[in-house]
Amino acid sequence: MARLFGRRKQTRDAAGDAGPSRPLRGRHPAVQVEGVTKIYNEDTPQQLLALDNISMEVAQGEVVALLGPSGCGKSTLLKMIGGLYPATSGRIFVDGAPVTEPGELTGMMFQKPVLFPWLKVVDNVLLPARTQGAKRSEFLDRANDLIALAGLQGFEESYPWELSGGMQQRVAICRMLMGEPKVLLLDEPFGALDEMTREYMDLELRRIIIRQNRSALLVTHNPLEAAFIGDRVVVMTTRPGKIAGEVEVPLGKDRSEDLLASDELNVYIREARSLLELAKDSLGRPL
Amino acid sequence: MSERAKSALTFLASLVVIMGAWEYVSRSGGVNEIVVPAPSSIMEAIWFVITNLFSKLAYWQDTWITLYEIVCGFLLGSGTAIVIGSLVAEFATARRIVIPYTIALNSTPKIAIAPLFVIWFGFGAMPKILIAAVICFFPVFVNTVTGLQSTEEEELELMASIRASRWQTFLRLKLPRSAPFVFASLRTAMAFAAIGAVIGEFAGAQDGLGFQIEFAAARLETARLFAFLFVVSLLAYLLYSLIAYTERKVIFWSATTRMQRLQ
Repeated sequence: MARLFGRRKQTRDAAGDAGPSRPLRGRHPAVQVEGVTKIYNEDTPQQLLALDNISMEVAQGEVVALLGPSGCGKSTLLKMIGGLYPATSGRIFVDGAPVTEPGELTGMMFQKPVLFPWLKVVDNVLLPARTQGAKRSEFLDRANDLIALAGLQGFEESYPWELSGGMQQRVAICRMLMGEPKVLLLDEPFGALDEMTREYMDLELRRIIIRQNRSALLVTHNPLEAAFIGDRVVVMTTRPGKIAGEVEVPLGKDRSEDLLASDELNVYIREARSLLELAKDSLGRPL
Repeated sequence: MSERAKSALTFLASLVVIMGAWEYVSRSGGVNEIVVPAPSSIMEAIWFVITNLFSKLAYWQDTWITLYEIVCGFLLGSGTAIVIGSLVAEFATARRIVIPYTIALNSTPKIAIAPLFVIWFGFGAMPKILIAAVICFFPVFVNTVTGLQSTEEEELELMASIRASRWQTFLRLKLPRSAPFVFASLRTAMAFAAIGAVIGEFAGAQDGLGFQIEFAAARLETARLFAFLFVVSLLAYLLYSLIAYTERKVIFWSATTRMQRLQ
């Protein structure tokens, strides 16, 4: 991103979309996870196997939902793909390149919006550019375009604490897109929102991902959210986290609000739910 | 009547009663004028000092030198505390070196250092500034370290994910996060600086409000002593208000500041 923010001037397409979609390399999957294991406190009595030999992929331009019960290590896996933490063994590639530290190809969104209350909305969005040493004025237009894309016009100069929870996560979406990541890593971004707002945000997020032509991996414990957002749902078991199975959701790229309550979607939600159930024993305890 | 007006009136009523009783006891000859002068004598003395301060500039020099000592001591002490606190919060080596010294410093009754500083630095402003700085240091140091370590895990993960350098993370996240902690301690430090400057003057000085207080005490001019006490308190209050004002401007975003604004 240093290179990106350092030299390249941003151009905008005619539709006013924020930023061009960089051509995908195509030869490699967007994300490739090969036999990844994570052990906490290795070689101590408190040793804990969190992730056990996980392999999965996100194809270029694909949106994958990683569905699993709380504590199954799905957030850990996501953060390892983002380069925040190392895997104990196994390999992770983003766009064909091994992940060793946070790179410019990935953008992350967290359970909380994680906005800085001392910065205005526009400056929160500009943060990734600013930390790479770019001038504020240089990327102001792009930040404003992203804010418009997320439906937040008029709130550029507001402070995060003046916004609702849903609006704050919209700001977090803009900030994530600021560095033009090709792969979006989303860690239960709407988990803290109420049901109605969450569904609306799911709709918006899906729209933005498709319109911006990105690949995405979304972590969630909600089967409805997983099936609605994902082109594919990967289901994980809990501790140690393993892949339980996956569900293809061939409902097309553009998904509308009507789909949320449709029987079509329900088929896939049930399928995902039954995979989740398989991962538990008869008392409902995770296996 | 508003809640505010009610509080003010109740307070004023209590003040009138207390002052009235005090005045009565003093005038009836129950207490020696030297031990506790009547409020009217104190007001007279305050008036005398204030009018001389502003018209004849008689005590201007004393007020100015004490103000100078408080402000310099405050800036030196809290500035050093913020710098060293930042190093301690960020670097394990700095932590290992500095912590034993700060524990030793905190265990020393700092007022007891005053005579030593007078021996080392003489009767000028320097020993007073240093005593004020030493007393200021500790609260600001502790709060700087606590504040810099108050960042949340997800905030650090965010900074890592946008590939912010250590310096960037410090400057754009940790420093603003620590500001509410630091400002809380700066208010304490300002009061401490006033104590330090006055103590320093007690230990040996040729001018300053502390010197005037001691001079008045030596001559048993108790009313005059109260008058200088009033001036030095007023000075400390004004400086404190300046810090509180700056705090509201700088950390306008903190939940506490926002609550206060709503009230």
